[in-house]
Amino acid sequence: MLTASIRHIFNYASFGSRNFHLSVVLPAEPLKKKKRVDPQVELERIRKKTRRIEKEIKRLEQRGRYLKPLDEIEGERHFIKTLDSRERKLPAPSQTEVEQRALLMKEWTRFKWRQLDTECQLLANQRRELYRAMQHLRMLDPSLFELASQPDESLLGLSLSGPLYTLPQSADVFDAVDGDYRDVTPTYRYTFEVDKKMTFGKKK
Amino acid sequence: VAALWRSGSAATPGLTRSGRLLSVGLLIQRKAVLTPDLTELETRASDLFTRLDFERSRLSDFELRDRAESEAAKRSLSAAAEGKVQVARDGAVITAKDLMQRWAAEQQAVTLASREAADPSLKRPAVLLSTDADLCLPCCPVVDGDASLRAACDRLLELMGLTASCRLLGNAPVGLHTYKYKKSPVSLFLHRAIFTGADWRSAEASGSWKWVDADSLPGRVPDRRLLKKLRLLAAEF
Repeated sequence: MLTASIRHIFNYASFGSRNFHLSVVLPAEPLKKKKRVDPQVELERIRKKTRRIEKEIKRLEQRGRYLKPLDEIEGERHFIKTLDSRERKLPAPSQTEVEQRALLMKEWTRFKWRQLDTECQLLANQRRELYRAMQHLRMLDPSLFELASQPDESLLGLSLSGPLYTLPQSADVFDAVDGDYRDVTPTYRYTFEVDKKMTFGKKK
Repeated sequence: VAALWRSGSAATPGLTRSGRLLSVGLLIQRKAVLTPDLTELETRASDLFTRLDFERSRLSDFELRDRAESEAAKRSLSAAAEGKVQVARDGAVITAKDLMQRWAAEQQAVTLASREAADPSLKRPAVLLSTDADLCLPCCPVVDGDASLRAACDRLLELMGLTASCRLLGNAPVGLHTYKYKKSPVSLFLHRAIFTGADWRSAEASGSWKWVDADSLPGRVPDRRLLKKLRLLAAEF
């Protein structure tokens, strides 16, 4: 019996014969057995996911676009990649030019410091004058002083423009076009459309 | 306003406190209409900063395009000089140089108004003063009907007819000037106002007021103490 079985094995286990061969290497494991999924459960899962996404979109739209912190801004990649090709090849300034620039910067610094000093002094004097006027008013009439101490809320909407480089042209030279200004800036709004089957709603 | 001040026998007597007559004065300022001329140092510094900005900057997309087109043109010229066959490009291509020439032509067509022809006083801030030799600042006494100093200032602006074109800055007075009028001590509280009207000449239309810049103040303000205060308060930054 045993001899017969060994003979049987040796009949079939002859190496190099047609019965033994190497198959292709399989990198992946065999597929798992497919689980049966309840379609209602699957639908509910998809509905929950879309509901979550819609909620997030609504929240983002209400709050507005968050601006990136300045520290995290890396700049446009297009410009960073082409930075080397964008260098200006200008001749280096001569020694005389460098010295003249340094002297001018020194003179300019001194001038601005003097200007700052004058302005600070002016501000301090004006503040002192204001204080003196208010003290005098308080001495004369405390009720008027209280009213004068109140903040002026009408200053919030104050806006001033100018000065200009030249005066406006007369109508003979330049006639400004009449009419209202129409803002034609294009705006784009992304609408998230979800299949109605997936939305959370009253089921029939 | 002048009649109220001069006669002393006004229809509504002014408010007095501790024997002093209270009054308000308006320092109506007009900002410089034109930019002042740069000094020699400022011009040199401006040119230097412009030059430094240019040296430290990188080429823009337009300049890159111009450089590429110039090199292509040089290559095609050298190839034509060597007798090599050139492939003609289809269509008329607008080069960066063409665009620059177009912009320069458009700029030439724009003519600005002359700065030299404009009144030099427009390059400096000014204060509205009376044309009357004896008076200078617009002022009036505070009366019983005035709830506050600010209300008195508003009433004064209405008397002058400048309510629409002037804006009072703050409720508090910015300065104080004390003097004697007909042996009565007067406390004049100065308030700052700014002229916001479209045409600064409209304030001079009545003939009673005139815009005076800082250099002309000594000739218009006889009181030296008041002149010192006006110079301080009307100074521009």
